[in-house]
Amino acid sequence: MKKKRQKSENPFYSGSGFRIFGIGKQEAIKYFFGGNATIAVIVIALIIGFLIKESATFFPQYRDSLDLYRKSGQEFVSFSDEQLTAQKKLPSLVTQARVNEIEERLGAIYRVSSVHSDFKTKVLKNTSSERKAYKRAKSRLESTQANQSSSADEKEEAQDDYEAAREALRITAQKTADSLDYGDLKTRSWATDDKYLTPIRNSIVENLLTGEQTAFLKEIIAEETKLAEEVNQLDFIRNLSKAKDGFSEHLPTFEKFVVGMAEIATQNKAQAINFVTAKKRKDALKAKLEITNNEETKIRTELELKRVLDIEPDYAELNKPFYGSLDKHLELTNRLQKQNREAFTIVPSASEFESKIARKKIKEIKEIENSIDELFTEKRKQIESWNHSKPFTLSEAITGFFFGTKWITNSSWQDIYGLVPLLTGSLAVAIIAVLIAIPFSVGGAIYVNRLSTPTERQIIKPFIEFIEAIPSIVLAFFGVVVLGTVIQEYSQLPWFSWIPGFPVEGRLTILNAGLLLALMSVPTIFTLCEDALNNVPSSYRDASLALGATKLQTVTKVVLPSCASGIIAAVLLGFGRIIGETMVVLLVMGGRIAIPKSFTDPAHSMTGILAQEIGEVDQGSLHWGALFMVGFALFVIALTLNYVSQRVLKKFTKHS
Amino acid sequence: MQDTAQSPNQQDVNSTSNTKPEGKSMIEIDDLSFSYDQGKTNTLRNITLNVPEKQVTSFIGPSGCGKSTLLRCLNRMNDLVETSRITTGQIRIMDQDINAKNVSAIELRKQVGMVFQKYNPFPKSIYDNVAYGLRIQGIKKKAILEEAVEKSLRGAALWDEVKDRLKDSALGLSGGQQQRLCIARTMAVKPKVILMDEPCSALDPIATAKVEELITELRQDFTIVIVTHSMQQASRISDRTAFFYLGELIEYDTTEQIFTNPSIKQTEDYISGRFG
Ligand SMILES: Nc1ncnc2c1ncn2[C@@H]1O[C@H](COP(=O)(O)OP(=O)(O)OP(=O)(O)O)[C@@H](O)[C@H]1O
Ligand SMILES: [Mg+2]
Repeated sequence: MKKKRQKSENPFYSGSGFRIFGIGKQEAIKYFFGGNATIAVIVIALIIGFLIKESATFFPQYRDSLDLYRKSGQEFVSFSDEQLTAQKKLPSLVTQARVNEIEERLGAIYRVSSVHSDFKTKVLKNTSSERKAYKRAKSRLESTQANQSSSADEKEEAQDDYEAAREALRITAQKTADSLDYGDLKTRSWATDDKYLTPIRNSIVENLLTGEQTAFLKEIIAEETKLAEEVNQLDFIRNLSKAKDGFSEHLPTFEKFVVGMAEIATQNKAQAINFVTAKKRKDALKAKLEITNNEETKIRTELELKRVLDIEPDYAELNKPFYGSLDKHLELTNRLQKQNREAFTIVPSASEFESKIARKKIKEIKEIENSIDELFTEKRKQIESWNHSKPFTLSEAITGFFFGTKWITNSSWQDIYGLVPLLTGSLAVAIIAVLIAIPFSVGGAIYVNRLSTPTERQIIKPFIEFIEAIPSIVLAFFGVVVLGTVIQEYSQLPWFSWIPGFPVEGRLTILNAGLLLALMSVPTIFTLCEDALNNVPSSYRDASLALGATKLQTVTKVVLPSCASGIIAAVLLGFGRIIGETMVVLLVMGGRIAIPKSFTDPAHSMTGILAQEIGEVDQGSLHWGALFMVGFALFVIALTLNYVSQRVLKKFTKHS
Repeated sequence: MQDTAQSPNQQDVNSTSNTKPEGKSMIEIDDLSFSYDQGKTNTLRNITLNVPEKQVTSFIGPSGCGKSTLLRCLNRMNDLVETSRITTGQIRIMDQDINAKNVSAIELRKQVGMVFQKYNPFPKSIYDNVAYGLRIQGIKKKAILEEAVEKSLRGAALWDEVKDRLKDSALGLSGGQQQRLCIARTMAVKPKVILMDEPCSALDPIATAKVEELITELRQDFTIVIVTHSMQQASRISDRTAFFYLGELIEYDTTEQIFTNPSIKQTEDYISGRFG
């Protein structure tokens, strides 16, 4: 062994110093960071593995569940049920159209009673102590009057007290009522004619003191009824009502038919489930028998095994009523369709209506007119070709999940897990949000980075970055309380009517959530865009300006083209941020699980459904598995978006 | 820094250097002082100098003496620095005060083009690079653009090398070709003046020779002001030379005079390589 060279002889001496387990400082630092990176990779791999494992058990389970659904005849009934649902929609749309039209035509007077009750709640709230005092004084007065032994003085005092309390109540109530204005209404669109304001106020006070319906209100209600009757007598409204009668004429018979079959199917299903559970129990007992050595347990288990009944139900027999119902079904639906066709011809055209919402409803009816026959034929075909003994395949279960248009849980009928409504909701809101956010964030980044003065920059940038700090629940709250109403009101304005889906009916819509999410994604996109813009060499700008280009030309012709992919990546990442957002979509989007037809519809989302349902499911249940699959789908989407934006960015860095 | 290099006063400069150019003057700089920090300190001080038309004038001087700054004053590229100010004096190009209220920097830069030290073609095709200046002026006719592109590329002695690959990315060219492309791009706008800030400092000797040759030819059509660190280059290509030191103009004369018989000792020291 060579003698270690002395420190003084070694020109490249590495230094003694900090060492643990023979590891030097540099190595320790290296291992520290390497270790961190490894842990991150391992954690992600574990998460992916976990998701895949959970979802792998979901599909076989789902297939079994669907199998029972078919064997028990529920599937068969569901076809008729879909026809029923489609049919039921017609009279309901007609009613909505009529109600909205009446409301529109009655105008100011229609809203008086709403305003009255809204104001009244407010006055009640403000006069609670006076009302209590008044009530007390009143009951004392009554009791003293009723009491024979009370002296005249007592009676007088009670009388004075009563009058004072009454006056106090009257004054406060009047003051509160007079301070109220249409602007204070819970729903501002209720605002009605100014001439009703004073009568409403006075009527409330009067009502408060007497506790009876006031003459004013009675008069208004009578007037309203009279006017509504007049509208009802209008030709086209009468036609509308006739159409409604047509649509609903054969509905009850058909509904009874469907409900009757549904009852049979439910019974079948109960039998099928009993059998499945019994079989499972038997398998478990058999397994126990095999592994146990204890004689006593063996005997007990064998006894129990004998007691478990697992006679497979005779599905062919159970489903007989369904196969036998084909003719009746055809007869009933034919009658429905014939009546429908007649009714459709007398539905008045949308242009006759004054209410925009009524027009929208009429248009919806016309759309149904074009599609309902097709739906009936299609369902009829499915009914005819239905076979209870054809087993569900795994791939059917998988496509059923990814392309299914229904998400029904905790149902007494059959749980169905279809991703499409949730996916479309998530995508729709994200697309809306990104479209709204792009001009603000990309435009803002360009302005701040290239066109603004330093002072402007110092003001704008912190503001935009501050948005990031707003908790999403606060935004959601704002959306529910303020934005929804604002959108609803302003969408009524005539100069917005060109926008598809306007006027907006509900407060909680995709648009509302989209606006908030747009706000949330602005900082993300803005910051990433600014980075992309900063990466553009300043020599490009100099060259362009030196050729006599304006700042704007420089931005559009040189700067933007050379960082386009950076901006696209920024938008994609913003999109990813929105897709993963939960609070806002859960609270503001309305939570309706259906494929949205327009961006002013309510909808549900993948993140929202997870947040809403994950807490209430049993671990390991089918529903639990379905939610896991939704999570998995979300994960895949996020991963894809990230990957695509990385690719885009890479392309961008290669070029510059 | 040399102890002997005291800053000479203005009278000295005026009396010792012949600032009267031969021929018509294109650029007249008159007692110009310039500051990057709102007038707190002057980066350029009391510079007076006339650049004659259709000649090559070079600016020389040690690093940091303000050559680039003065050059960037001539096409108002210093406007981009928010805190920059002209504290005294004025610059006239074609007899117009370029910092007057009614002068547009955009229009000025169309007449006074600039070529930068580090070649900076846009990440576009060769053709689009040269056509850029015309396109932003709203010229869209293909025939006009094609003609201008060819003329400029020929003018920059680049045509034969790139005529078959006009649609290729400009970033695929060699450094020297890219710099000549930048010159062609500037020429396409047909400026009166071309400012060049150390156009050859990033190039190898052969590319440098080509660009120098080009500059000599351009003299026929353009007034050229060039900043350079190479004494040989200044003496080879320029008609007149200005020597700057610490923000002041020390000496300005014909190149021959400056290099053979400088009248100020600082100039002589710098040229002979004794400081800088
Ligand atoms: N944008 C700017 N803001 C503030 N000061 C600047 C700016 N540009 C240059 N300066 C300063 O102005 C002085 C002159 O710089 P300038 O670039 O004009 O020198 P130069 O003579 O071109 O030098 P070089 O030969 O190294 O290019 C230097 O002290 C420099 O630090
Ligand atoms: Mg310089």
